[in-house]
Amino acid sequence: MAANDHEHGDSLLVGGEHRPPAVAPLSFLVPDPKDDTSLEGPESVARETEETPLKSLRRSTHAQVLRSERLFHLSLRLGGLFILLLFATVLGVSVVEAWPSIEKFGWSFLWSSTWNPHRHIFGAWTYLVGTFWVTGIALLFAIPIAILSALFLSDYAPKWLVGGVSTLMEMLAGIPSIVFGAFGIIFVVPLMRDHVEPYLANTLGRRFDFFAGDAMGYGILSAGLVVGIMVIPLVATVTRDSLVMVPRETVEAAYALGSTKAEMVYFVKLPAVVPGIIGSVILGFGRALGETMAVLLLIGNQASVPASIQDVGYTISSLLANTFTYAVIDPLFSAAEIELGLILLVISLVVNTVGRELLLKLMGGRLAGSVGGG
Amino acid sequence: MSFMKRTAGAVALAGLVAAAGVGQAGAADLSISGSSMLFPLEQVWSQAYMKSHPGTHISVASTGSGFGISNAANGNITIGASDAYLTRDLKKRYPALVSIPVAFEDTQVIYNIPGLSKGAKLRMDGPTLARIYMGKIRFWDDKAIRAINPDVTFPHSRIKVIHRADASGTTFVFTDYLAQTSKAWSDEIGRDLSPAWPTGSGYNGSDAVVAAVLATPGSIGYVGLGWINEYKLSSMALKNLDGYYVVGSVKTIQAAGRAALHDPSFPDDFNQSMVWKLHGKDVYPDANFEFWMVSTSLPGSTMKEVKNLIVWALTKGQKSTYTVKTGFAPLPFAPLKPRLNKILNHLLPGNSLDIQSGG
Repeated sequence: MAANDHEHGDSLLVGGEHRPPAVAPLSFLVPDPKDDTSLEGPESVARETEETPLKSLRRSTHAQVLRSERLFHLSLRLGGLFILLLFATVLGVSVVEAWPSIEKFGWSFLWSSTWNPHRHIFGAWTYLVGTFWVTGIALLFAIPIAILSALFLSDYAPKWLVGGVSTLMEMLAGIPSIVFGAFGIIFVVPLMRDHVEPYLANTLGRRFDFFAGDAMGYGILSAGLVVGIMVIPLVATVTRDSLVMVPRETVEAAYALGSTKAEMVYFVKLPAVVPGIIGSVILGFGRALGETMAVLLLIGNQASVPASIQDVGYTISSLLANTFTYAVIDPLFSAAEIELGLILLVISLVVNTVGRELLLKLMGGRLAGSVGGG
Repeated sequence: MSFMKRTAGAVALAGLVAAAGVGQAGAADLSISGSSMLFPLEQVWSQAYMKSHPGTHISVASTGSGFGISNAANGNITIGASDAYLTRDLKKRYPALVSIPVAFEDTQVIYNIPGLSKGAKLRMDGPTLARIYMGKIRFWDDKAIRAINPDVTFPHSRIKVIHRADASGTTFVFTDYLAQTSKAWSDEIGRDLSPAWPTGSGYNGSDAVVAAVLATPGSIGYVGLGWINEYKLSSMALKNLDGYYVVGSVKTIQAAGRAALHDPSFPDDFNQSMVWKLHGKDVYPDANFEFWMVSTSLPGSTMKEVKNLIVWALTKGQKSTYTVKTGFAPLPFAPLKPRLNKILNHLLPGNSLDIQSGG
């Protein structure tokens, strides 16, 4: 019969292709002697033809399958191992290269504020403080704006606006930082110098020295704000994604209990996405901490501890970008700079680990590690 | 240590490949890397030289003087370009390096003082400039500044000190002037490509310094001759050793260079600053040689190519269409010749060269 012709087919391809001939044209009109009913015919044919090639495949290539499986596992393991190796190499090379400085200055490297290549005295304090000022200003500026814009996009924006704005936001996160740096020089610096900083000095600055100063434009304020602009899309995108994932039932339950839209957002949605927000803030922190080019262009690169928000400063990454090519001519100088890089690495490791733990606790283990890798 | 060297080598290689895109090192392949200040001149030189000497390939990269010095010493590049001479420390660390002067440059002090009358010509001396850069003089109408400029009325505005943030030869020449004229500066900060600035704000590159000075009312900064010419900036007249106030220009820089070359106490390996110590009415006190650093351990065939290139650069290469156009003052060949002879035929190994013939 038609089905028997194809039983010899030894490839899956034939088995898959032969369906129309399996149900031979008009074959249901001629009752098969083996079949009791005409309906059973095609079913049994299908079972037979699908099973045969599969069986033969399993039988003939059992060893091959095992081998390829093992190969696959091995390559996966190598991939994983490579990451570990890479991390160990970066850490190991950094420690070895930084060793002269670690050995000479010990822990006091962290809180000594003298950095004088000419006299071979190195201390990280000024750069640590500068780094934290820029990161702090950036996050203080970015987080509220990012959360508000995420809420607007997830719950309030008209549908035609959501797609466009979301895409724009994601594109904003991909713009190279030098572009933001240039934007900072031509827009933010004059704005700060001519308007914001004089205003701050004349209002808050009269009471608190922290806001006073000579308006210069360049400094921790401009650098922090521009880095903040770069962090906003990062925090906003992750927050919006978690807001969208709040179950519809929860939202509807809140409405059913008589809450207004604002109450629903504030009492139901926001608490539900706190872990997402924390995760995104950790991402933003990592970005702000390591941001180099935009900061270098705007911070004023002066190794002094800022006493006012209008002061200039220096961050670890911008110091490395400015002077590392020169530092290589002096082993202790370059060791000190590499130790600074090592400190940056450790800080971001600690923040990421703490953030992850916090997330796990808040989510009760539900979101194991899906957010917060910075 | 070996780790350090290897890493530096890798960085150097990466830099070269990225900047020049040249991989193979044939006999006639020369690589010049270092000073960002010399870079424009090296570019026009390499174009012209490759045109007149087919078969020689020169790749040029701007990587900073410190990079040029260290990588010329360990053989990663053929010639290291530097704005700074080899100080005693560097000479000790890299004993094989020989420095060859290839052009004149200078560092000039620029300013942006609101409310200053248009034609006002400012004068400045070393100790006052040092006190400004140490943050001890904070207003433009300070009596020290007024004493040097009796006929200028200054506004009572804060001085905003602007300096380079990256390691720079311009900074070296500038701090050299301060260190030689002010004891306080010499004791506390010293001369360096990247000193520990006591005050002010730093910017990466001379272009950024010019931009910051132009944008910041009350600011003071420093850049080289090329930037002054390009942006038509007005610079301060600096007090020289004989008490004259001189504005930097091709003429006054050459006067300084001539004085240095005619000074018998000036060392033949040029490892001394030409800032300040020179006498003369027209001598600008903050001028400097630009250097090429060549290692004595270069292989013979490369050394021959390098010597040819040096002789060409110091003769035909000094035409003002090359030098003045890119912001340098040409070297006078006649007083330079005997010293150049010593460098090429005694300090550097290889066959002796008749430098009369030129390139």
